[in-house]
Amino acid sequence: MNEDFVGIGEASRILGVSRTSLQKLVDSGRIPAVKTAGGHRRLTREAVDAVNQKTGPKALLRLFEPPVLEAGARADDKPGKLTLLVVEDDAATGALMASMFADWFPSVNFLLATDGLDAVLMLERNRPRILITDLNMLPFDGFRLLQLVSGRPEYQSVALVVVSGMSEQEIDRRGGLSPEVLFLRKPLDFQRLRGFVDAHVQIFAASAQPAAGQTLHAGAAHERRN
Amino acid sequence: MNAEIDLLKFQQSSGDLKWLPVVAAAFLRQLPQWRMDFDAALAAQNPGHQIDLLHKIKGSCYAVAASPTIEVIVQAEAAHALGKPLAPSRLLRHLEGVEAELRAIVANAPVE
Repeated sequence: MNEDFVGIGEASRILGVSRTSLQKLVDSGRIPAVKTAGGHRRLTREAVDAVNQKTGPKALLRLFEPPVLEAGARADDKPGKLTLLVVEDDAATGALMASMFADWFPSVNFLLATDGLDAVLMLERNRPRILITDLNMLPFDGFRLLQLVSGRPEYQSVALVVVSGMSEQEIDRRGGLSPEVLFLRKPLDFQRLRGFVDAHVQIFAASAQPAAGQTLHAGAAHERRN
Repeated sequence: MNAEIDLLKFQQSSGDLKWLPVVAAAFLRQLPQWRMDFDAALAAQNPGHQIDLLHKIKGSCYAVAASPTIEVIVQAEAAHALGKPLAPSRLLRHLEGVEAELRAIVANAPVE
């Protein structure tokens, strides 16, 4: 009977999604699974095939999963690099930004949060240099997020960008945006956004260089003393 | 019949068509949920929720450059602002076209 069941690992290979994504599908009940005596999850091959059929060509899911990190994840895979946090609940826009930033700025730590609450957890742990956020998100919207970030001294150096299709009247009705926030209307001018991020990457790199110089200088002084 | 996905516009705005399959796959993953939510909002005769959903769908349509659908949504939003009820059949027809084109784009994309 073993051939009728597959483990999470094999099912993730068949469907072309990450183990985490698959785990979420199982936890939400969208893919039926059973637990072994040892506590491991097993999926019926029939259920996996049904999901595969339903989502269309396997290529659909195998192509790419945007680099969505779990809430609270640390961007420590590129230590000493600029961290950029995008808060966007629309998967298509998030995937586009993830692809672009990975391509344009391979040295940047890119994080994607799917609402304001996710973003708060990521902010605390990762201290991004740039925060790009949508406004209209549930349950924790961009207005609340910006309010929180603007009110905390430790986030004063974070460059804030809003990308939204919301009308100016609606933005004003919901409290408006402070002057230090760069507002980019959807459809997004990606080249402008790229220029903005590029400028910050250069400033970040330039500010990192004197520190390296000081270290060298201190090292030289140390050598002279010895 | 015009194409639902404006490839030229996508290329102009993003800079490269190579990202379209990735974005299309993400769009398609959201589509069933939107349909369910939209049906529920129509059944509940909740115009506020309908407009919120339209706003969300429009944002995603911008990402895949689904220009004709964006136009339909903009018209629906304008009608709503004038107090007119939403007529969803046109939008749903366009979304079907968008889905078909995006599925083809995804299916024909080189698998990494």
